[in-house]
Amino acid sequence: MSKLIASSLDIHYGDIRVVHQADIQLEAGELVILVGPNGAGKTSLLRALAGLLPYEGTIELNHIDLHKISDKERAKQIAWAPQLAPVHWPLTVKHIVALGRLPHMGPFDRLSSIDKAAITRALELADCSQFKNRLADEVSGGERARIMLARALAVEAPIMMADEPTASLDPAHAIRTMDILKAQAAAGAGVLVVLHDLALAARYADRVVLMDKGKIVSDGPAASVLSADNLARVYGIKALSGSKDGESWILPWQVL
Amino acid sequence: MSDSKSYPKVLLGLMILVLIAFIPGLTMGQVSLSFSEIWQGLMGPADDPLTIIVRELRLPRVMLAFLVGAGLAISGAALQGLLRNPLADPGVIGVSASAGFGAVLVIHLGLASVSALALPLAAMIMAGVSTLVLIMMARRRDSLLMLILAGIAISSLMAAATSLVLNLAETPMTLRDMMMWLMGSLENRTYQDVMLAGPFIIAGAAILASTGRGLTALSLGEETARSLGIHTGQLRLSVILGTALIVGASVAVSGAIGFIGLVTPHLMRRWVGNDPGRLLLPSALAGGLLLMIADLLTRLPFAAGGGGLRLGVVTALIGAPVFLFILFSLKGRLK
Repeated sequence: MSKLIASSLDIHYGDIRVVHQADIQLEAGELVILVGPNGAGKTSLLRALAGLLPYEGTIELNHIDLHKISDKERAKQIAWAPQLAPVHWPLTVKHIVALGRLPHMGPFDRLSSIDKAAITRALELADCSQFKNRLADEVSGGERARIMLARALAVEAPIMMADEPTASLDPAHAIRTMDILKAQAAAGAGVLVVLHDLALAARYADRVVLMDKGKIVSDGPAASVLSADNLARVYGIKALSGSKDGESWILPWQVL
Repeated sequence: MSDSKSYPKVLLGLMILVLIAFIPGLTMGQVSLSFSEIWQGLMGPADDPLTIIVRELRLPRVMLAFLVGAGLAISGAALQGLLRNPLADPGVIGVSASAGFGAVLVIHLGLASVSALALPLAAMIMAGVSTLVLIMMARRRDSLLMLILAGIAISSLMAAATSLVLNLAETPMTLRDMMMWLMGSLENRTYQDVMLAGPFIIAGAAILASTGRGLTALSLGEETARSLGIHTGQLRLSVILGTALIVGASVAVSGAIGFIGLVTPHLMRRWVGNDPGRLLLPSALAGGLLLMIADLLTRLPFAAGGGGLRLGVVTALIGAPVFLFILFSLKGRLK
């Protein structure tokens, strides 16, 4: 069972400290959603946890220091879906999703039947099958975001991280994306997602982590983390809330 | 990466064409030879005039055309992949200009007549030095923009230094030597040149061929490539080192030959697609083939006047318009 634990994490860009003394963990089978105002340090924290940004403090993956894990091994363990990933050449959608299998391949291997099955599954899951043969620069922004999700799903890693995977999606695809991430967690993966949409966060998260000005200010069940008090203090907003069929929801309503 | 069926076919087709191109490479020249004469030349005694023409003059020339063309094209393809810029080529990172300066300097100092090895060595040393400077700059500031700008700066500096040497040339003869050399040629090359440049070009090409997967992943940006387990710093160093070996050795034996590195990957994109990793090997074969054909053009009868048509002039005359044509036909597809 995979487990990611970070403690006393500091992240700097030059002289600017963007994350300060962050403690966070992610266990197999849970969907953790990282929220916070713009500039709170969410993306930086996510990137450091994925091994893509230098940090001070410790990050352990399955009790092994992240620095001691090879790039390739880390890539097998942690799948990463960035926000707004560029596609520099006109490649087909299928080709891009196939890149998710790179961590599993030797330098001169061809795609095995296992790889091909993973690619097909990922394309299906992210609803990209119908345009898999199109070029990535000929699809819409929302479709592009789904391609990136499919690319990360194709890794089939025990840990998955996604930076605002729903940002450019219509409501149906946003809900579907959250369903997919939830299903990944239910199937045993540890899933860590940065979201701005508090409604989706409150509804889907097993645990919500709230960041403000580079610090983690609250970590726990959605109901307690996204309390009226916290929302007023961190976001300066008032939200409506309620529950339906045992699931709670939240609707940001006005600026205080 | 993707399971396209055409890729092996393209490779095989290009290999066959390269082998076919060896034939006119041996038959064409000031003395036209028939098939049987070539065979006689290849197999005959060492002091036979046919043997000298085939083995000592034409075979090294054809081999060098292939090696230099293949090397320049694979470095162009790798640099375009690394810099994610379809306009990149070995000239961009300043290695060609540095090697050229080294060679011109040697001619100016009169060292070229002291030893046949002086010019190639100077070109390779200068290529190595400029690459080392680039590597150090790229390491200090981990950014591609920095690398391109440093390349442009080195390139301009070396072009200026070359102009200075030309400016100071004392006799018209040296000036003519330097100009002829800067135009690029494969005439009168020997096995010594093949043995000197060949190993460096092959080593460089092998290094570049190993970067395919990384370059493919880099299509999705540096961050995603790293999340896929690619060590992007190492990848960059490999591409720079491979390019320096190839360009230094190529410039040393053939002078300045442009556009092969720029145009060949573009031509290959139509056949094997846009994946930068898959472009490497087809580009190498096609680049070798193109330079072999360009070299044949310099041997046509009308080209013989005025000391002979120079190979670098042929590649530029054909390459530049072809490049423009490709650029326009791409329309908005490459942003």
